[in-house]
Amino acid sequence: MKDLEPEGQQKSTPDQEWADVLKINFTPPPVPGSTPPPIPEQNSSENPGHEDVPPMPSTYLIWSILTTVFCCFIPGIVAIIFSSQVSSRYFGGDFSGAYRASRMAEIWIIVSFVLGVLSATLYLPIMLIAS
Amino acid sequence: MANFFQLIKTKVPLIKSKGAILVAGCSLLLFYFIFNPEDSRFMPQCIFHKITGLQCMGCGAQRMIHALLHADFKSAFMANAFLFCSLPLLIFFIWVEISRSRHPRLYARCHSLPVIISAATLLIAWFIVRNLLNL
Repeated sequence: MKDLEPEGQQKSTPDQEWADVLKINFTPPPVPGSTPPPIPEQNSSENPGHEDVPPMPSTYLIWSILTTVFCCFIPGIVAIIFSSQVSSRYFGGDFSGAYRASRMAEIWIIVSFVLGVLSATLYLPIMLIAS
Repeated sequence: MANFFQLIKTKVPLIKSKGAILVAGCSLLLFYFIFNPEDSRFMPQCIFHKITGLQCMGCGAQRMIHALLHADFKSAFMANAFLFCSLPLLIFFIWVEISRSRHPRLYARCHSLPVIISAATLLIAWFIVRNLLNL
């Protein structure tokens, strides 16, 4: 760190000028004399990294099981597979992938539910016509 | 389409949606209390069972609900043994889903990968076993 800081100090003045010219928010590198400021910065940058873990996206597991049992079971099993992907990706650290899998599970649950409701409502007219 | 549940949550006021779900559930329970699925030909049946002749995981669920509402636990078990046995677990998972904002840790723990995989394998195993043994 002590070897790098003088380089940062040498570059700081031209960088600051360029930042002023380009109107960019530029934080100057730490001054070598003051050691306390960098340490809190590192802590503050690490702590959000741990707190930044978003809450688990909905896996819709119970709804996919219920639609598998009570509605159409083929899209329901696809939804269960997607909800398992939500879990594996979330605990693997791929949060955007988990969110995408959660949305896919939602779509397949809606497909299963709509097919189940359609088959239940169209059953009576079809039987009446057939008999 | 993808944000269907979110749209329902934001657009429909919470009390109204809760009331609608409660009314629909109570009317369904009343319907299954009055009508016996085995009596009439016009009760909706499983399309998969009609086409292939195989029993799916949920076949017998209507008979099971009818028997449960009449406190006839033996015929409820005979109608769909797996669903009858996993009923307390299903109620627990619905409770976890409802109280997700209050207990997010419990939600994440109950929805870990082993739990989901075991649920899926149990469902598929029940599907195979019931067709092999004609349960």
